[in-house]
Amino acid sequence: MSTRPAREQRLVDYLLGVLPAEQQEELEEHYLAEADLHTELQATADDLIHAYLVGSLSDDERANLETHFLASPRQRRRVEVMRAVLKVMRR
Amino acid sequence: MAPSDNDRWDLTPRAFVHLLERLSSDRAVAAVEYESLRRRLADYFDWRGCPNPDVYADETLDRVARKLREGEKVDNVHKYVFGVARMLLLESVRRREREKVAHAEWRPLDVVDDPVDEDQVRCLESCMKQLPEETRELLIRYYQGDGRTTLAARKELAVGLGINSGALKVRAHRARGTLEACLRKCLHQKKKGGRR
Repeated sequence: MSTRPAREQRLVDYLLGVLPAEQQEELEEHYLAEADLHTELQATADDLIHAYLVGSLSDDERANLETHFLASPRQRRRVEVMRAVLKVMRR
Repeated sequence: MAPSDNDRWDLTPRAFVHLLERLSSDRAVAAVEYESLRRRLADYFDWRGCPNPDVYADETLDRVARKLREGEKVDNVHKYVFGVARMLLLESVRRREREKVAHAEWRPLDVVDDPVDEDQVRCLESCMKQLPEETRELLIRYYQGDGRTTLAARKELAVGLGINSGALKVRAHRARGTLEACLRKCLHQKKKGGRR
């Protein structure tokens, strides 16, 4: 069971490609019109990548992230950068 | 795969100006909104699994500009942009078999054991030092912990800053953006230096 607030969980589900189609389109229409919501989504993507790298995603979320979100070369680059950031911070 | 050449239409300066005018009557504000909208579109296509998201973002805006220039009646330009983007996404879905390729290329990472690019690490170390102290501290505290302790640490950080967790998340994202911009610049300079 996720401990995320409902609003954040909705954004996570969108990024993982598991948000129902109707909600997906509604969210897309909103963030294309509202820059703040888009920024919130990008920040949620950062958190998702971090959670993936520190191993705090559930098995289902990790699987969805690897098959959907990380199918994008742009997102894979972001993961690489975040890995390097974490390495630097842990030195 | 990008939109086919048959669909291409070259954006004219007049059509571009017309689009900017619809985004805002203030030219400077319109230019900022155009860039922001383009970034949102690129993410839309990327998050929906479309290859070449930047190309599709440009194509969306080009098509919208063309329609506006041709006199199409558009009451809500953002809603119209979304409609065009959705149509282009459907076109791209018909053309690709992207995930098969991506899955074949992608393997999960091991954050501890997989090597990281040392140039990248050196640049990041330098960029971290260049950040204002409070930004550096924010990033370190935001990303500390092993997953189990992250949430509690972030709550404590948000309380200390007097902001809610959503605002903290966005602040950390912006700080990370600053760090990445520095990283890109540093890697670019290293590459240029290496070619000399």
